[in-house]
Amino acid sequence: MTSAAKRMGSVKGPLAIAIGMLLLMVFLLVMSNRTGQRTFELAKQQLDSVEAVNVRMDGALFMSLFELQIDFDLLARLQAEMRTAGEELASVLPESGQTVLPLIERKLEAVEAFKSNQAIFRNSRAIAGQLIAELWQRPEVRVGESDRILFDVERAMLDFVGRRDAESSQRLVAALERAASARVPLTELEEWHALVEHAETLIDYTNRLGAVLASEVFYQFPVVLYEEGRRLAQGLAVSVAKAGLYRSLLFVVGVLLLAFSAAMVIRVRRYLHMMERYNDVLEDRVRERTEQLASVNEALRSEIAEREHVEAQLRIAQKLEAIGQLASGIAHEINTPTQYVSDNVSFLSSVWRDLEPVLDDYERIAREEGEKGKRSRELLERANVSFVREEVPRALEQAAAGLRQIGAIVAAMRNFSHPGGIGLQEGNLNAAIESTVIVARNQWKHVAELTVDLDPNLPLVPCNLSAVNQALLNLVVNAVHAIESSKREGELGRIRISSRSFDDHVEIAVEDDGPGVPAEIQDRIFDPFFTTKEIGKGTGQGLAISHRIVHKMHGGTLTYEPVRGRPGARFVIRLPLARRESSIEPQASYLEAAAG
Amino acid sequence: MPTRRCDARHLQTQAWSLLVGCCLLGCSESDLAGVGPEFALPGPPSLAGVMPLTRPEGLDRQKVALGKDLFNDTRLSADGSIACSSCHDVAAGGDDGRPTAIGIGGRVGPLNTPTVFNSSLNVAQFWDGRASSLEEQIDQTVQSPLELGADWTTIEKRLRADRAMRKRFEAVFGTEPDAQTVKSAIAEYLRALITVDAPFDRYLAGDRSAMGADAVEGYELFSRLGCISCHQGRNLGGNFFQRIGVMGDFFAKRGRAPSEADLGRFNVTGREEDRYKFKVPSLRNVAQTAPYFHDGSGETLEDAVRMMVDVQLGRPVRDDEIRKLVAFLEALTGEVDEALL
Ligand code: HEC
Ligand code: HEC
Repeated sequence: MTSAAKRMGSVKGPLAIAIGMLLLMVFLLVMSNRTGQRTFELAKQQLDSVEAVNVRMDGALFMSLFELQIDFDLLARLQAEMRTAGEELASVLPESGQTVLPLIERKLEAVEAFKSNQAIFRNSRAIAGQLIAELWQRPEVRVGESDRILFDVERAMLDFVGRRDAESSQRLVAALERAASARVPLTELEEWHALVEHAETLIDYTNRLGAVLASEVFYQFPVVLYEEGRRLAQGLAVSVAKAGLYRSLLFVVGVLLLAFSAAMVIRVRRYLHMMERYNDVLEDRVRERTEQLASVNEALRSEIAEREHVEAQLRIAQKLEAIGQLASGIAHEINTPTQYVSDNVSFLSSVWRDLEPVLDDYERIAREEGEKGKRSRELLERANVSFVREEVPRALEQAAAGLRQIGAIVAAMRNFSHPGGIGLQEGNLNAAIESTVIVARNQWKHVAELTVDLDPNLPLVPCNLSAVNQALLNLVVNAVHAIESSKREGELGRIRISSRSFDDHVEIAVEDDGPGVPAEIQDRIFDPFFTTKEIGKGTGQGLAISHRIVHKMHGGTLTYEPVRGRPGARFVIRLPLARRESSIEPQASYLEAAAG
Repeated sequence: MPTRRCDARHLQTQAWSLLVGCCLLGCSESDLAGVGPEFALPGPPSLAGVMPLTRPEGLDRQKVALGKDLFNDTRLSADGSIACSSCHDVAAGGDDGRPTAIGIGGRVGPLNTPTVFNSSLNVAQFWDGRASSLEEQIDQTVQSPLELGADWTTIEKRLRADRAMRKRFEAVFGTEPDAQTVKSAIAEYLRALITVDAPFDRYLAGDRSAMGADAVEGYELFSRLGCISCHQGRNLGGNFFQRIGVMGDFFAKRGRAPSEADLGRFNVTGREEDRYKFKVPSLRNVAQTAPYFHDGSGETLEDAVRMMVDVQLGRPVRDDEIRKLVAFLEALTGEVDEALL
């Protein structure tokens, strides 16, 4: 147990390593997502859209320049789009925003300047054209060189608008100067002044427009966008590579962790297995101990019960012994007077038999003698001799019978209470049966008819007669109790005791017609603790004692056999003829046998 | 220029740039010899390509409604005295009818209030275009000490204290009111403020009776005289910046030397050429937005047109032509949905 705990403690180290690896993996995962790959991708997208807007914007500029698009709505919209795209780029990747946003501002400024200048250029060109047309309608144009001057200016204007270069602008300026120096009425007209102003405005705004369109930003923009794009692509490549590195590291660590945790799992399972085994062993031990304790308990309990039982038995035995001694004393006391009473009775009987012919003769004489015999006849009558002659032999016979009975009782008492004592002696079991029947007479005579069927050839059996008497008595009492419990008042049961001899043993059976023993308790009837009845009385205890006597003292068997076909019980004592040394305790006294 | 690989797109871009360059440098060498007086310079672009305005699509109605309420909400000003609508009365042209705006605490600003109608179609916001989006414009207006003079923290606090408002923001944006969502809602409302069905729109759509004869003639004049060069596109303006006084001195005519506000776009870009440049205003609904110009110096539409003729066109225009131009400009007044007012 403790060693297992120690082993489990040693799991802590690997666990820390596993957690460390896990943390490393998390770190790698976070790092792999932090390489800015996504940022670069998004930035590239935004940069692309800036570029796309720029291309469209250049197109729109071109269209405005060549007046294919008459208003600036498209340009204005593209300006807004470019600004949004730039701001989004800046929000995704500020560094990129820093490079691109100022450029966008410059481009937008250039576009604004373009719109502003282009509008004026267009306006002045249109107005100039209209003014020239109006001047041609004026009468002043026909004065002097006026038409030539107007034509020159118109040509120069057309030339300039077409070429928009320095030379043509100089020619236009020269034409205007020539006109101014001509001092014709035409040049005094309000329209002419307006024309001159617009011509100057045209030159001015053409130059401005040229400056705007030549502005570096138009060329720079694609270059910067390209370079920024390359930078982003590089950044992307680096971040992808980094992410790849982190991911492969992640993979490696992951595989390691997997292997490690597999090993850990195996180890832990081994420990668990071990623990289980420890547990099993522990449980076994506990069970064993519990069982031991239980059996010790049991033993203790049975010992206590046994002791109580023995003590009770002892008391009974002592009582019995006292009764036995008393009985043998009484038997002796009775025996002596009975002896001479019976001697006298047999003397009287024989005397009576001798007197019979005398009386016969006297009676005959008395009848024959007539008067003479009258006196004799009176005597005979008075003495009621005929009655006496009838009754005396009967009375004597009855007295003799009574005496025989007394003799039998005394003999039985002597027999029964005879301290069987040490060892087994050849004993007559039939005699034992008879004396038991007599001793128990009071028990059975109102309950059952008792018949005895004895084997006349029963050999003498090595036994302790008084113990066998006790066993038999118990069986008889048991039978009586069984019958009592089932028969109605006044109805007699039947008890039959028989003896039989076999080759190596003799058998004594006690049968009754009581209810028998229920099957479920048959194997427990010899158990000393089985009965709940008062000790010394009742089936269980008696049977247990009988069992001990038969088994322990005599190496025999006492078995219960149900009577087939009718209610009742049959207990059979089998006593061996030849003593088997091993199972018999010759020294065991009656009391010892009873105590187990 | 560093040596570099060229991919198709770069080539394309370069091609465009090259073309543009070539044109400038006079590739089109047409022979002008023998061109007679009848061979005129190209005339002004016509308005034929102008498309009528249409109702905006794809807007979030709930957001627009929220924006409208915020537009009218005085909690957006520092002292709770004014709202956007105080200066932009959408029931009367979307501006305030004053020469220059009066903000919180009666502070008088240097600039005329432009209409909020169709402002979403403009290339940028404000006279000088310093705000490139409506959101940016709202952000500046809210915080400008001459306008609402508020700060977002206060506004957020005020709006968040209002359960109903919170619920509406929750419904539209799924968040509490904050600077970003307030701007977004108002911008949505501004995007909804597109005026449609002006007589001119109907005329463009084919209804020849939508505009009177003067207006139709005015329309032709508008194109022929050159107004269309600057007031161009669907919105008749608003898509680029132009100098006031290309052909004359606006400030001399106005009779007041230019102030800082008069520098216009120069204030934003700092470039000399942007001096006095302003966003060309859309002329839609122009009849309703007097007084005119960034400084409110043009009292009537006719004044404004005359000024334009003088300083932008640089050509003589007759009175009847002015009248017709005004008639045309008056035909540019459209309508917005009642619900937005
Ligand atoms: C004090 C009056 C005042 C208030 C209040 C006010 N504005 Fe303006 N608004 C102006 C003025 C003045 C301008 C022009 C400022 C400039 O160009 O610098 C302007 C410009 C604008 C423009 C730009 C229009 C264009 O075509 O350039 C919009 C859009 C606008 N305001 C919307 C709003 C909104 C939305 C609010 C509420 C948040 C608001 N304004 C509140 C006075 C006001
Ligand atoms: C060269 C460009 C240009 C031309 C051409 C031009 N405008 Fe303008 N217009 C502007 C600019 C720029 C403004 C704004 C000036 C300012 O507010 O300071 C403007 C403002 C106006 C306004 C005032 C709008 C407002 O809401 O304040 C009206 C009206 C107007 N123009 C009408 C015309 C008419 C009519 C013509 C043609 C006769 C014309 N414009 C030609 C550039 C031009």
